[in-house]
Amino acid sequence: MRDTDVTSLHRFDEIENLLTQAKTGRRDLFSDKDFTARLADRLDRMLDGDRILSMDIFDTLVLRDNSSEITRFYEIGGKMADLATSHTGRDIAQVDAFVARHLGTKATYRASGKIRGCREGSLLEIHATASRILTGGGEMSSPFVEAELEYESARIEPNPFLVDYAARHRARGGRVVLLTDMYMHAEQVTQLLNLLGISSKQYDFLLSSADTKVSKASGGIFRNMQEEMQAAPGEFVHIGDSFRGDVAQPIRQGWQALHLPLAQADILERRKDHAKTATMLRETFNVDIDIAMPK
Amino acid sequence: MTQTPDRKDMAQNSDEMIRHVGYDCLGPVVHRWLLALDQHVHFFDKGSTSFLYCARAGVRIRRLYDLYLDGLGRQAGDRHNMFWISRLALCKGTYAHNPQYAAEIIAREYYHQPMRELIRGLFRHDQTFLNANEDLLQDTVFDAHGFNFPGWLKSDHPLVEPVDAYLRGCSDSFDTYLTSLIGDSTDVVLIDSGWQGTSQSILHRAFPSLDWHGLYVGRILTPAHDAKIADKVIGLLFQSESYDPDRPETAITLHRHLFETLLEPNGPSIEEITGGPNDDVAQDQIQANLNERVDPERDALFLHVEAYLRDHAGLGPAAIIANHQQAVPELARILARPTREEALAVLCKDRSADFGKDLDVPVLIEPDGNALASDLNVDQRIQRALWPQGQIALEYTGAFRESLQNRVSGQEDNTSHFDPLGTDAATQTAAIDADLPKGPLVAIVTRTKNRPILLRRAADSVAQQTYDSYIWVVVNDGGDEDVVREVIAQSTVDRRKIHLVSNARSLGMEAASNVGIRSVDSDYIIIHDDDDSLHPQFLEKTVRFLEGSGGKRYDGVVTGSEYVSEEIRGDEVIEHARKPYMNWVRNIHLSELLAQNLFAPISFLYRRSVYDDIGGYNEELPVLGDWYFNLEFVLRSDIKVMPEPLAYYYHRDFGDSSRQGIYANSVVGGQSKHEEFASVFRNMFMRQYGNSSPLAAAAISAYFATDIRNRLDAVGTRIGQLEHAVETNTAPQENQNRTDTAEIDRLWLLVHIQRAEMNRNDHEKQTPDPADPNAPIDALVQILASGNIPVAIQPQFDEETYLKLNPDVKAAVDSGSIPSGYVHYLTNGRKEGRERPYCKTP
Repeated sequence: MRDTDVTSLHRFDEIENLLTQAKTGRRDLFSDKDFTARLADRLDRMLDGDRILSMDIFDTLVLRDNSSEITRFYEIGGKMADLATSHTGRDIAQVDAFVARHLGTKATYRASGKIRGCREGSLLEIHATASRILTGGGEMSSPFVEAELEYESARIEPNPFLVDYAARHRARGGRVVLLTDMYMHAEQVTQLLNLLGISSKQYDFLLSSADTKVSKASGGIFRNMQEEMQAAPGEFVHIGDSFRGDVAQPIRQGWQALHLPLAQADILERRKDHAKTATMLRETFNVDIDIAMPK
Repeated sequence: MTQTPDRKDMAQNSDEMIRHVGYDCLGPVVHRWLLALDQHVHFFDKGSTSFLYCARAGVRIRRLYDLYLDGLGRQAGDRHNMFWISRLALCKGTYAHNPQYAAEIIAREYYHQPMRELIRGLFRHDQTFLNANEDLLQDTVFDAHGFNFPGWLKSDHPLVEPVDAYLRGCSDSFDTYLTSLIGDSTDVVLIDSGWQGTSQSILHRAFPSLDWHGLYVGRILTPAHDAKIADKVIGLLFQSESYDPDRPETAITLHRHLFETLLEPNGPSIEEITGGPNDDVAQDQIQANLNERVDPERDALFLHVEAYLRDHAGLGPAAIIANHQQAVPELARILARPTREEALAVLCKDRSADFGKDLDVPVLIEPDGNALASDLNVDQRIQRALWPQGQIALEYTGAFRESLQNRVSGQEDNTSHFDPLGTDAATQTAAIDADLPKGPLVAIVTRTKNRPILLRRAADSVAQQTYDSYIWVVVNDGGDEDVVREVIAQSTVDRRKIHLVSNARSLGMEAASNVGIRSVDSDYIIIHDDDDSLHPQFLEKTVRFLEGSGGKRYDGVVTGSEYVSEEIRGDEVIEHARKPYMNWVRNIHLSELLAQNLFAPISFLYRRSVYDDIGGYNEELPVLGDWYFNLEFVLRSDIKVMPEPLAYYYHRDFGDSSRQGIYANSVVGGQSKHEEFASVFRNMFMRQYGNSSPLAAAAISAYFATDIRNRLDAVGTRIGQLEHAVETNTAPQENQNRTDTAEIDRLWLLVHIQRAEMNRNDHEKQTPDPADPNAPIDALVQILASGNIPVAIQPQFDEETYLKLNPDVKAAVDSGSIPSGYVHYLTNGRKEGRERPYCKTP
């Protein structure tokens, strides 16, 4: 349908649509001059000089490759198995370490303590449980955590545009904060960012739902950030890839928000990767693990 | 005491079947449960956490868990202890901390039994006390039902003091016992079979400073569950109230007694407190459980499970899960649709009651078994058995058995049973499909004009939809576009799903709908006006229905609605009342729809293809366009009614916003337009579709059926009022009475004329020339005079008196030249001033 004298048609998803439809994935788009110019312009207008730029971390400030969670966790299981075998002298299979980590994840998300009615997973709890399942004791907990962080650092890279934009915003007097819904605690995320060359001096504050228990998805973490930064809701502009946690919930809290969704092409790659690993697990070990397909 | 099927029968028939159930099916499931138990023990263990295995199930749970750990070369630590309690013992033991709650739990178990039995249950093991107080127990106060127990404890009955003293004595001992188990620990994890944490709730309320968690085989919450602790009641294999075939482990909800009896040792319930007033009894009970004799026949399943665990000792977690995933569908099938042999194999022993009661509860009742069985018919046996699906297997065979078992399990109902299209069997395989799933696309069309307050609510309604394949088309029909943009900017609808169609000038409601619908491609359409809203699951449920096999015969679906009365004051929307809207509508009949619109637009989701066939909403109608569209829809296809209220139809029928201005409803504020266009609407519809005369006849019949119905309702009401006046000898004012009876006569005559016309139309198939409902009585009399229309005597007309007063009329009636004195009155008597005699209703 076309515009007529009386009727005009409008959309509101220029940036979102470009990202969603990016045929070769988002990563290339964040290096595309035309796109980044438009994005910068949009952010400039939203930030209006002095608002606080709040960024999601994973798949926003840092870009993941298109491996799926199930693949990553299975590969982390391999590292865990090597460590546990060395420690115990028993042959611990990669798939068992992967499952032990998964059981630790399920336990922490089901049973950890709540704050303000909210619950979040914890990498420390995940590996404490996994260590006990595999070895009977908690001594492998820290090595497992370190192994996972090291593995993750090899699977992610900084988002060049956003790192640069954040620096420019700070240079003109603005503030930059980071928010993540993640089972990694702030300390671990900071460590990971350092490994990528994003030092804690490049942002003003970082909050992880593993520490706060309230999250972006539940909406509670935004109040925590307001209190930390001593700022009102209207002073924040948040950007991120999750519609619920990075757009709907901050808007409900009175923040402005911009959605930077994953490209369909990226999601499809991740789904294929998930399918590949899930099929391998089923065919090799006869097991289906309830890790959600990327969407 | 009931009797279960003969053990010899079981043994002869199915040693292999029992082995299959116990070893092949239950073994892997129990192994998975133990892995989950281990997983959570590790999670909760902070170094000082106490793990308490609740008797009696805890005896066998501990035995199995030790076997599991042994296979891994490990042992449970010294903070793992048996907790020698039962629910009754817990009530006794926590009484001092929370007397009211403990008494209520005890009372619940004896709710409809005499309180006498409750007291006997409490003191079951203290015969001395019972003997000494037998006379007092015969007091009539103990005839009262057990639910009176908490109140009785506050009375001054002589037995209150010793009962209270006994319970407090139990509590003192229990405190000591608990401390001996947990020491200084503040984190306590209970381990038990299931299912909703009643014991955990009792302990939490009595000792709130301790952090209580519970690990159970599964969690099944009933309405009586304690919501405050539900999050800490952890079902290790499942958490569900009903069977979901997509999660086979939930089949345990169909026969949870399987696990209860599997884990129940052959020892008594622990009804006395360690160290308490009857400590010797407690110790005997404990020893009996510790030294239980596992019976090779009654505990065959348990022994097979142990054998499985031994044979698979030390298996890694991946293999445990794999074996479970292989076995649990078969276990689910056996629990949901067992054959007779399988039912008998699953049956081990009856469930023993607790709470001081001394009886076994039958899991199954063999139809030819015993006195109880013969006293009960088939239905009663199925109802009484603890496992209905198993009982059905003893009663029936073949496809009928399976169908009945499916119904009892909630997997089949009458509709699906008789629907020729059938319901799709749950045969979807868990395909790992990388392709992004996409549901059919719904166009949600919202017309708006300068109503940002309401548009915001509509935006929330859209954003909250659980079904996410939609486009929200906002049609700004001549209003301020910036206002709409601001609402969109503040909304939480995914921006990729929003289209704004902005009309520089108003095109009218129906044209606005059309331009919005035509701006997008979609599979379904819903008109979601800016002043209405939807339940979050509206799209999910309606799309699912139409996409399913049951929806194939329909092209639209209407849900139940609520009519919401509200008022706008400044920037605030104030709700005044809410009530079901047209909730009597269960089907959409064309004839009913012709008489009145049966549903609100907000409740109607339909296939785009029908819209395309119709060609759009009728833009000539400033109001009632949705009704017109609905009629055109039903001319082509059927609409399903889903009674569940999932749509909210708002009306500003309070205050200033009700009648005028931007917030007025078209239905309420535009009332005069509705009245004006009702006849225009019907005439337009008849002209467009009147060539098909049965349709035109149906239109008129339906319209007049409603009209007559309404008018007769009014007549009936008025007659009732007049009857009352006559009966109470209340003399109505003469003028009022004359006016009322004149209208009664007019309507009476009209009804008869219209009925005669309808009958004639049916037979003669002519286009009708209907009597004008507003025609004065003289005009109706002319119609009466011109045709052979029988008119019954109006009940409040005193025919006898009229004929007596008017002998000329009587003569005419007697000769047959006029049918009745009443007809004479209508046609002549009125004008001649003859008196209309009024009689009481017989």
